[in-house]
Amino acid sequence: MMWFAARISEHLPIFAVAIPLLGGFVTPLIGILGERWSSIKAVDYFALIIAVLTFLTMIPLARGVIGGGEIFVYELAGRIPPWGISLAVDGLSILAGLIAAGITLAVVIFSIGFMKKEEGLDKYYLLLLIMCAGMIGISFTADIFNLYVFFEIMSISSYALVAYYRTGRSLEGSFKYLIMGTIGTVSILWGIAIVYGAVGTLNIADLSVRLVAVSEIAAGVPLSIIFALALFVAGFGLKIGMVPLHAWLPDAYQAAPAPISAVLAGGTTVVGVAALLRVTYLLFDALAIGYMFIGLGLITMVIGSFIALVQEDLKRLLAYSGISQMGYILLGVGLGGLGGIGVSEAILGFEGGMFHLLNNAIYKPLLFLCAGAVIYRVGTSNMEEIGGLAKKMPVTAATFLIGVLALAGIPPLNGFASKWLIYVTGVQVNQPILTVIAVVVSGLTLAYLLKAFTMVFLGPVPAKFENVGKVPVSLQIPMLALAALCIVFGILPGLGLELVGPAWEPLFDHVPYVEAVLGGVIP
Amino acid sequence: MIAPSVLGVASYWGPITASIIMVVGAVIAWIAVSWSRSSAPQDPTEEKLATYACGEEVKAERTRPSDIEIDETRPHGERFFSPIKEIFKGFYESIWAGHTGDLSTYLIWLVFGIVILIVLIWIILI
Repeated sequence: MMWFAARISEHLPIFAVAIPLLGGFVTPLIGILGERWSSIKAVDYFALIIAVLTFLTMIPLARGVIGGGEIFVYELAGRIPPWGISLAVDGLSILAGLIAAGITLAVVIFSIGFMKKEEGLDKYYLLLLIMCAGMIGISFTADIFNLYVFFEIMSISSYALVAYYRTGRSLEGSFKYLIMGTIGTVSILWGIAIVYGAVGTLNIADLSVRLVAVSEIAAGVPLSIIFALALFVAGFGLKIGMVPLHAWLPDAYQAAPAPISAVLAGGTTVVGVAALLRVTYLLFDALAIGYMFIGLGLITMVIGSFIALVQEDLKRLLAYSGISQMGYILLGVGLGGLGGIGVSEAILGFEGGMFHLLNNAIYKPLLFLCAGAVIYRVGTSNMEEIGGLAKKMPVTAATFLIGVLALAGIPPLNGFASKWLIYVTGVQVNQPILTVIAVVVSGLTLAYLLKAFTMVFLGPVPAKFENVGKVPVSLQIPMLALAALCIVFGILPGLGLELVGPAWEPLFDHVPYVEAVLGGVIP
Repeated sequence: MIAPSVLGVASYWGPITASIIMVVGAVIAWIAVSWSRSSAPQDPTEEKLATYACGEEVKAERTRPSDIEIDETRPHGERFFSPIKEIFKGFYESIWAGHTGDLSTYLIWLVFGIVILIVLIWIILI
């Protein structure tokens, strides 16, 4: 038994990818069998089992990486890196992986109730589980080409999921996302081709060592490497909705089923940021790019919030809000990468940015799930048509309000803790104007979110919604769990900082990652 | 690796300390407002009521809004932040021009964005 457990634990990194991938492909078969045996819920429960198993594989890995400071390296087919394909689970990987698996689990539970009136659920869960496999693959891979492959796996399944309803709006949103997303992934592939042509390797650890060597030999960064870095930033920036590459995002989020919007907002953006940081800070060792992240972060947060202010569709408002919050994350990690600042300020910046990334992956899906609960009952997300739902849907209203206050950075919720660290970093690096802008944008965030809360949940109930009732328990469970996390990480920010601590360390100090992947031998 | 000064409750910069300060501040403000209300209770005189109603006499039952008036108080999106929309009219007009919903506009933004990124990274790293 002990031998079996040990063998299992050895292969956990590949199980984390393989379970949702293979489980996804088995789902249609379960759907067929379920139809034959008149068990309509078989697909739901199978997807739930797969999501639970995937999340469970993360726990021992998280314990080892976050608790024990380990870096798990898994060599596929026994080929030693830098040859062959390998997975490496460090702090950044496990944070992104945990978020991806956690959100998938929450969304599967939510979907059991939310999607029960829909057809083709086997295809829905197939795509959702494959998207989960893609997200975890992006987080865990130690190979830049497989990063691209997993990115495509995640992206293609998300294009199809956005088009799930096959209405004019969903097809249009999906098509725009497909075109823009494909340009993004092609940019990444082009960047990979350039760096492979320059140094002849695809292993991320090996690449980071060789790219530094190339810069030293060439006495400066070659133009081809700068171009490659720009292509990577453009590709990942597009995926995370960084201004001015954000245009696809509101259309896609509005058109997708609400649980899928939650995965896009909390899962794919997180793995996109993780990949962006790994490539810029670890692979290219370009901490100076923090200046660019600060500038783009400010533009992203300001434009996102101003546009959110005038939205009348709840999901579209939340989509622009997500763009704005991405600005805070970029600002935090950009401040951490600034040159000429002390180590404690750099740590503070990275901590703030990464903690905000974690928090954003909690309250953003929460708000989309609440929007989904509203749509489930009233059939629209147009705020002009809704009102007074707090009396009819008290749990949804309460959890939405917690998400609103957390996102706006109101103490003692989690959004306040991470925003506060970013504010403090701005002051400590003698750039108080950054803090002032961030605080003003938080005020705008509170303003447009309270507008949403007021329009949807307060005021008199329109006569047509007089008979609206509460949402089923399967919809309430993930909303309550995410709302609870908003409170827990707000009251105990140390818990969140312990989770994100190992995530920013590889960005700051590459040596442990490179040594772990290359077996302690730095060529 | 977590800086103790950030997490420490004793530190002014700690989020917990800051939260406590803000909550205590809010409670003090609430007490101050409550006290000021109790010391100067709202008790409009006849003159005040007349002034509020533009000079005419207001009957007590008329001060209650009608059902139609209640419906009018229902929040409408267009009324929210209309001053902000007016002040930043130019900004919003330029933003709408860039968010036409046409894929071709999005692609122009994409190309524009990639060029900006290349230039910025080149300036930073060279």
